[in-house]
Parts: sequence; C-alpha cells; structure tokens
Amino acid sequence: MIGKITIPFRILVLCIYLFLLGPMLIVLPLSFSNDSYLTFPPQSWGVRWYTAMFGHQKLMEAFQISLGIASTVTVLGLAAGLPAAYAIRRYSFPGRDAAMSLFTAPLLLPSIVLGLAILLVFVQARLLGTFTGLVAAHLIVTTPYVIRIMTTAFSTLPPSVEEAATMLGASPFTVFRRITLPLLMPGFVASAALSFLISFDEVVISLFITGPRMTTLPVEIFDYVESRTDPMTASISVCLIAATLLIIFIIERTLGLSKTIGK
Amino acid sequence: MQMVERRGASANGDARPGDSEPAFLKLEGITKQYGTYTAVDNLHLDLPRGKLLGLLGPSGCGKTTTLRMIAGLLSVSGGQIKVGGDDIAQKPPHKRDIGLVFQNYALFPHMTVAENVAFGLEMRGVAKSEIATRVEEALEMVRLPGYGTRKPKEMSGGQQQRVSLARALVIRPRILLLDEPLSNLDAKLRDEMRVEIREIQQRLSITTVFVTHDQVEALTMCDCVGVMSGGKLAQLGSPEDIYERPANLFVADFVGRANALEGKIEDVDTVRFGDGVYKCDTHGARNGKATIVIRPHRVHVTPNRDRTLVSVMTNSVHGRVLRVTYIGDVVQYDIDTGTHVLKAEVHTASGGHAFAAGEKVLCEWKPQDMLVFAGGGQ
Repeated sequence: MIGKITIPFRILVLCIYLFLLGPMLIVLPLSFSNDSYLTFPPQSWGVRWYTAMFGHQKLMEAFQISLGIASTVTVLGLAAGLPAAYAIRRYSFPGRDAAMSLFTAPLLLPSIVLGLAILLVFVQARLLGTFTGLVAAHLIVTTPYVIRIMTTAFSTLPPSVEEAATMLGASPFTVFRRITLPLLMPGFVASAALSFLISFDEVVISLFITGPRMTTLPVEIFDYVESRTDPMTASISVCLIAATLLIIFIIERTLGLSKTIGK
Repeated sequence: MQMVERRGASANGDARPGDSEPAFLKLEGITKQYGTYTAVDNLHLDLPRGKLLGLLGPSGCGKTTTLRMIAGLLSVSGGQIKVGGDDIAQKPPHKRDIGLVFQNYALFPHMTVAENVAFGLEMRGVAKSEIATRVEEALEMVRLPGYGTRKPKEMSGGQQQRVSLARALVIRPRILLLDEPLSNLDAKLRDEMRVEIREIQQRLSITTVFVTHDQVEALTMCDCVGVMSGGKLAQLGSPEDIYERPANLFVADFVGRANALEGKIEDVDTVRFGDGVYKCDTHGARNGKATIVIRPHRVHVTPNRDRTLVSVMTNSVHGRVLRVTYIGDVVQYDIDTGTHVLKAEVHTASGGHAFAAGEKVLCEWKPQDMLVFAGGGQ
C-alpha cells in the first residue's frame, strides 16, 4: 500500500463493504423467520421456510435440473474451449485473430439480445424447454470465458518450459504431470468454477427458453418471487450463497483464489 | 584448429584431418525438410570433446533447426547424429542426456530455484541427500549460492539465465546446447555472461554447441565457428579463419563489416576495379569477374599526397570524404573514389578525428587485406 491508511479511507472501505454485504445482513436473519410474509425484523424465528424449501417439489426438481445443466455445460465448455485455446496460443494459422474475436464475441453482447436470438433459432429447431437446448444456450455464454481464461493460461506456459523438462529427462507423461498440469491447473479450475457458476446462475437467456416441461432453479425462483412474498426466498438465497462460498473456499484452500483469478 | 569439414574443401584449406582429435559430436549429413522446403541440407560436422562450437548465421539459416535436431526436439529427415560413437538421431529427447539452455530461460515458474535445478537429478533417481549437495554446488558455480528458495520471477533476467545454466549442467550432460542464451539480456550483462559461460564451459570441459546471430559472441567465445546460410554450412573454422580467411563472399559479408567491390581479375596477383589496378592474391585465378572485399578498418586514410610516393601499403586510391560518422571508439568515413564509395574505419585518438567531409584523402591498404572472390555478385 502506498501512503498512509487514513481514517476517511477506512470509512470509505467500510461503506463499500456494507454496500456489498448489506443484502446478506438482511437476508440471513430473514431466512430464519417463521412468519408467513416477508417482514423485517421477523416477528417469530425458526427453520420453517428451510423445511418448506426442501419439501417444495418443483423447486427441488429445478435445482436438480440446474445442477445437471451446470455440470454438463462445465464439462462440454472445457472440452470445446481447451483445444480451442490451445490452438489459438500454440499454432499460427490464417484467421487466428478472427477466430479468437468470434469465440469471445458473446462476452460483449447483452444477454437479452443473445436470448432473443437463441429463442428465434430454437423455436425452429424445437429445442425450447429441453435439456439440450438449455445446455446449448448456456454454452454460448460460458465457452468464451473458458477460451479467455485458458488462452491466458497457455500464454504463461511457453512450449520451451515443457521442452526444458523433456531435455532434463522427463518422459512425456512426466512432463504433463509435473509441468503442464500444475501450470494449467489454476486456469482450468477457474474456467470450471466460472462456467459452473454462470450456468447455474443464468436467468435472462434461460427465461427465453425454459418452459413448463423444464425449468432451471433461477427461473423457478424468479417465478416464485413474482407470485409469493414469503421468507422462503431468503432461505433459498442463503443456501445458494453458502454453496458459492463453499466452492470458493475449496478453490482457495487447494490452489489459492488470488492465483486462480488473479492472472 | 582441429575441425574437419568433410564436404567442402574450400571451407577449411588448412585443416589437417590426420592430426585432429577424434570427434565427440558428429553430424553426418543431417537434413530437415518441411514439405519441399529444406531447412537444413545435408550438414556434416565434427566437434572434438570439450570444444565450444558456435553456429552463426542470419535468422532462417537453419542454425536453430540444427540445434533442435541435436536436442531431439525436432526429428531429422535424414542423417545421423553421433555422440561418442552412438547414433542418437532416433532416440527420444528425454533419453539423450543433453543439456539445453533456452533464450527465454524456460524456468519452471511454479518451482523454486532449487527445485528447478533439482528436476533433472530427480528424473535420474539421484538420492535426496546427494541432490541437495549437487544443487548447491551448481548454484555456487553460477555465482548464485543461497538463492535456492527463491522463485524464478523474483530474479533478474541475468540471474534466471544463470539458474537455467545451472539446471542444464547439474545433470552432467554429455553435450551442452545453448540457444541464443544472451539475446534477452542487456548489453552490459551480455558481456559479463559471455565471459562467465566460456569460463564454466572450459572449466567443465564440456562439449558445447552455441547458436547465435551475434558475430561478436561467436568470435569471442567459440573454439570454432560454423557460419550457416540457407541450411548449409558456408564455412567452418576458427574465429580467425572465419574473419581473416572467409571461404566465400557470404561469410566475408556476414562476419564483420566489408566493402564489397565489383571488379575484374587481371592476373594471379592483380585485380582491377574502378580506374585502378591493385596487388593481391587471387588464389590462382587469372581472369574473370570478381568481388573484392576490403575490411573498412584495414583501409588507412592519410592526407592527400602523390600516389607514387606510397610504398608500404602497396595499394592506394585517391578520394574525397563524403560523410564522417563518429561512433566514439572509431570514426567511419565514406570516401568517394570517383567510381566507388569506400568505407574506412579509423580508431579515434585523443585530439579528435583528422578529416572533414569534402576533404581530399589518400586511402591505402595491403595486398593481403584484399579478399578476392572469383565470379562476382553473390
């Protein structure tokens, strides 16, 4: 840190934290309300809405679907993005820069535009309200992140580093295990975590293509909030925040989050 | 010079195969082809044990390709690579026991300096206790004792290159390869590292191939220099051979600065260019076109006077100074002789340079400083 940490600066930081974490300070107590309606502060306390949440069949189904979609999207996104990033970084071919721009273009488009475009195409392809359709739509959003993160990861791993290990007597498998894998791991984990969270969280595009037959958790919550105003929403939020924190905690403990996201 | 080049006799007229040391590294007709493009073309060379060979050439001449074939990182399209008699051309790189130092250091960023240096020993199954001592010895050798716990990114470029050298040498490789190891360092550090690498190479007496595009590195560090062009060896010889007795126009022009003048051979000891006739050795040629090369610093620039009074230098031409370029240790003159522009370099002495633009001067040089290449042109 350059310069002294002054008192006004401390206050500013405190305010920013309050702004960011404020909703949680409300949501956490709300989730333990036993009231029938959202009121703050709650009149009675308990785990009524947690119980209700786990008993809510539609919500639990949507949760499982979201979990399935997010996992599939993560695996497929990595399967597509990893080789693409490798080719872009390690080979030079005509149209390489154009390919990179094309692959990462969805990052720049507003979701609502993407959602509408996907809707128009999926209507004809009969993909609306299907698992395949949702996975395909989410892949459009997550794959660019994978390619972005992995091209950076590959560029911090010049071929000569692997060659150096080879010259020192490491077999191709040892080179992969001792050099390539550890150096790519942070990028790999970051892409996987980001893909999973983006897909699991995605509302806007999903709204266009989910239907009564198949819906995702965020869309189901969205529908629920529209019609009901009970504290179950708070309970769901707390569960989701806890799950996200758990994922981040695991990454932090195994790899170091700053290392993963930082570069 | 104990080098033997098997193909072109012209390249090393004074090499005597009879009393040369046996070759430790032997390239026998190695070739690398990419489709119809030949990057390295039937290259032969022998390097005795403990010698440092410099492969010098412009980019795209095949020097790095040659190095990578010796390392095994590129497969050969043909030919043999022999180390101590065994052909290793088909061996995978990790079984070749060759140390390689890269231009960009190529240290493992996720390991400490000590772990980097220890990597090759680990691969060889050396005992832990021995690894520790050998790593520390290697770091002492490159003057980085106690740096073992650092990460590569905490070190300067020069230090990283030293770690890279220690890492390559700690496995006691049969051959050391250096791929432009000094190119990423700044000028002052490069001078230091040049001396240091040469000292270590001689102390360990390790057979080394050094790829560079920098003639100063090649001439100052190497026991012998192979100048490459278009995938072929243009000349192989001692640094002095390469500079004083270039085998062809390419070498004369690439190594050091040169005046290349189009002229004609008049007799075995006479050439003509412009209006003048000059004494030299044409290596037996009696007539025909020729390109005559004179090193700028072998041209003596003296005040204008009558040519007939000249005796010591034998060859001379009158001219007028066109341009004066002051570099510090030398002054470069471009001198218009009427038919050619002759470049001359004169060491500066205290008191400044002697001639100004427009001044009339007399240029002189010795017959042995004229290199005559029959045929003319490239």
